[in-house]
Amino acid sequence: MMDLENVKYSNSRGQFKIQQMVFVLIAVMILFGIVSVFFVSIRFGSLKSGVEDQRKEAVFEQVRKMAGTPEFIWTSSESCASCVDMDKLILLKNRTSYKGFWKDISLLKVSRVYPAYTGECTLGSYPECNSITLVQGDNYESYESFVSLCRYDGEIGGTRCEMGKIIMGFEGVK
Amino acid sequence: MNKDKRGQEEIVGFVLIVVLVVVIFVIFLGIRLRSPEPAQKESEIVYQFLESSMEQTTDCVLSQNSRNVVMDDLIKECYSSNNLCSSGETACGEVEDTMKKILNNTWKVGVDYLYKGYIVKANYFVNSSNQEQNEEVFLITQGNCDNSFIGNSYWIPEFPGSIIVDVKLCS
Repeated sequence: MMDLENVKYSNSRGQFKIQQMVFVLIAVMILFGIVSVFFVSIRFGSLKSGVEDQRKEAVFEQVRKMAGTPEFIWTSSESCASCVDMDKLILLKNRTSYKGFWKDISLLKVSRVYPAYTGECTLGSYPECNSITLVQGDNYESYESFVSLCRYDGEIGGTRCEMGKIIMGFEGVK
Repeated sequence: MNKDKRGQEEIVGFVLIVVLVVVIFVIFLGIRLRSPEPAQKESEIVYQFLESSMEQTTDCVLSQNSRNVVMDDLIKECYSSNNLCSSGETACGEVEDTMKKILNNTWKVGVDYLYKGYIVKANYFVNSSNQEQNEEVFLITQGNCDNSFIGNSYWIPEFPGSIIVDVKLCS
């Protein structure tokens, strides 16, 4: 003869055990879920910064392409894609016909890095000056690219190229 | 009494599982944070810097009635013969001096700046494809550098091999 009281007790205990196991499994899964979310968020964070870096590199490349335009390029002797003609630029700066030529650009400037001088170039101070500004607006984000600033130097009787940079500012680029 | 003991055993088991998972998680996190993958990126801006600095006209005139030498030619001169400039400075001395001045005017490095240091080195390779190193041409270092940097290389052909100028900007 079966003891019914003991069978009932055994059944409810089994159910309790199953419940316990389910709770443990859920807790472990939640824990792994949190870890996964944490890991994925770190991964996506680095991916986002990588994309941002690549976008910036592309902009730097675009800015440098300005050095290859006819208004900027140094075409004297050897081919040099990154050489800018400073003599051309100082003359271009005072040309009224070039006003509004560079549309959608809020800042366009070349600046010497080495040797260091100070002040904006004028026909009087050139070449012992630091920068030539062709366009100066406001509300822009600027990007810089390294170029060589070349000119004829009477003192050495030939070409002198110096380290410089092109700075371009674009309106509304954030 | 027996029921109580079994209950206690189950709680201990549960706690053990949780502790085990937490320990695994902490070890994983510790490994990830302690040895981050070296962030070494090829940088367009560093390449632009290298290309432009190689066009720099230096103060070195190697022989009478000749013109001032540009940086990449002076680096070749430094490797091949290290002749004296008309100022009395050696070609290698002039390369290092000019390069240091350019670097100082381009990037401020230190604890308070975006870049903590830089390493600029030029090596001559007989066979550049398998990077068989032959000779160091020059080395300029400033600040602190660990395994996180942006950098790039510039090749100067010098028969039968080439000189490779490397710049590493450490962050």
